[in-house]
Amino acid sequence: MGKYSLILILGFSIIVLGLLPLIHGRASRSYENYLDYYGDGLAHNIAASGANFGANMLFANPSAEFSYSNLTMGGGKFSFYTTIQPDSTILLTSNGKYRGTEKTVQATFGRSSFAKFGVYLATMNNIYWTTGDTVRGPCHIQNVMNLNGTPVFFGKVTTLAGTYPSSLPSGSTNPKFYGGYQSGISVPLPPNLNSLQSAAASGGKIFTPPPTPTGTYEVRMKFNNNGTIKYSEYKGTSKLSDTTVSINLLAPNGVVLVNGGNIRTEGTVNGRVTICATSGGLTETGNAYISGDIRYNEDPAQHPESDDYLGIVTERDVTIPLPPGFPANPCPNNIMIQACVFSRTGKFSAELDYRMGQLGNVNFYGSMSSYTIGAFSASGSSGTYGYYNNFQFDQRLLLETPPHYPKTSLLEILSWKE
Amino acid sequence: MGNSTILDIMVSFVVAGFLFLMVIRISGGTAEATFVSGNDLTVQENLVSFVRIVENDFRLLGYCANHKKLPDPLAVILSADSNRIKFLTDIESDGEVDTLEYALGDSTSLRSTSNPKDRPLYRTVNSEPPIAYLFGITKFAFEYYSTLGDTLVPPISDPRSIHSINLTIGLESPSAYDDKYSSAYWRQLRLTSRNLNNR
Repeated sequence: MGKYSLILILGFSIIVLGLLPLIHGRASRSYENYLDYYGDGLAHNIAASGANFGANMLFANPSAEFSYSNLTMGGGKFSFYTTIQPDSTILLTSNGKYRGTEKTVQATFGRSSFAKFGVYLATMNNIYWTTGDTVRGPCHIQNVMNLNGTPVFFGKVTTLAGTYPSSLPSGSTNPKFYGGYQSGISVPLPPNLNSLQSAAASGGKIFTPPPTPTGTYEVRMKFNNNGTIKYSEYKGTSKLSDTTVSINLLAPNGVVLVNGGNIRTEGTVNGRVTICATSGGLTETGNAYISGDIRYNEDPAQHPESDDYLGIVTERDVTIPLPPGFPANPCPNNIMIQACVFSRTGKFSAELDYRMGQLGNVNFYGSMSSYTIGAFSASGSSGTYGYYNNFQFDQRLLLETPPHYPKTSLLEILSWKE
Repeated sequence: MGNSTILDIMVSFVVAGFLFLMVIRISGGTAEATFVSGNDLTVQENLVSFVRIVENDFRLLGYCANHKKLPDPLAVILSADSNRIKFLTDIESDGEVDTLEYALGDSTSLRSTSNPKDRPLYRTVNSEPPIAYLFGITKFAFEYYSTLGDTLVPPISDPRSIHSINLTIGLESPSAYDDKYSSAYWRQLRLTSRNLNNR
């Protein structure tokens, strides 16, 4: 019996010894599998870290061209470099290596335009976004964003110096940032409008005031739906010229600049044009007055493929003025403005008078960037007077802008591939 | 045949009985170890393979080689629910916008296995017929967060409000040993594509 027992034990020992490598082999494969996945993940993370390094360098210095290789991180190495592409965008490529595994992350950067903001304000002063306010499109406040109640922001919101109150939600203040919120982002207004001046001088049109007669220089521009523009030059009350010409002939690159004067405009825009008023060192110039409806020939709200774009760029204010002969000549009940408005040191607002009464809406469709926030209505003893504002962001502006519209000094990420 | 011989035989029978019991126990343990280690390995390999596909797809969420075709990063997620998501991407990096949808099927859809909990996961590209992944998936659950970190309750009526995503994946073996299924979990906290909030 003892002999058979030994044979039995030996037999099963052999079987178990045969199975153990199988079980251990599976354990080893399982571990190798884990190591493969871990290595892949680490190589990817190293590449993504390199891309983040490069992105930060580009954000700090948008004109940077650089190439770094074989930097050590997390037991692996990474290299990253930039390439300027034919469309002037910057391609950042980052390679991460970890124990034979290599991963690549690529990001494309482009210079951003102020036209991409539904609302841009350098400062809010003491004005608050409050319950009932709705902002569509990206919004940036180059200061503290004042909030009260539950304003709604559909686009991404960025600020330089956070919000007031600083912690959200706070009591009854609970804004809805449906597109995200980020603070610490600096997008300063340009120090001047020299780039537009240069564009107008090379392929555009520059209006300059003659020395006589005296008075403020103004160019009145009425856009016609056949792609022409009727412009009249005034100096004080004197009319100097009256011309109708195709936009393309007047300014082949689409930039029309009044240097040292004001602009008064209305009409139907057919084409791409940016009109600009600079102060020319004078005190009452560099303003634009929107004297009536401004529409695109093809309404982008109905036809997103519309290729009509208007930029109104000023050194100072953009204003909806009281009509000539007011109050005998009353204000229009509703005003439609389809344009990108940019006021470098001023605001976009309506000229207000208690006698105007409570009017309809300023139906604005485009992008608004200004130094400070302007009012379209006010309250007095006789109640509220002026316009309600109904601002809509023109989604086309995420891709296209009016010609030579002011750009930010920063780059934005256009795409990120990993 | 004396008394000592009878005693030897009885002891031998007792020893032999113990040995048989040991052999049976070892045999059962070995079979279980072999089966379970095989299941564990299969589940783990399936999980890694599946996660690689998912990670690759979600890293490309909102990406298009031609960035002008996806200008609004907020319009990237088309619909979102607790175990279903549909978004825009560029799967082949050819500059053409694709629609990609992940949707977990119900537990009655996959009855070729003995595991009552596993489900097919459908991956649909554009209007092509969906591809069913039969990895033994028992959990494919999303949680969505707003920009302020608040949890959004699915189904999400306004996908533009999604700022980050938490995805949990659970797999189990298709068959069990002694009613015990091998399982593996993967969770990506705050899975966020850079393309979702890039501009």
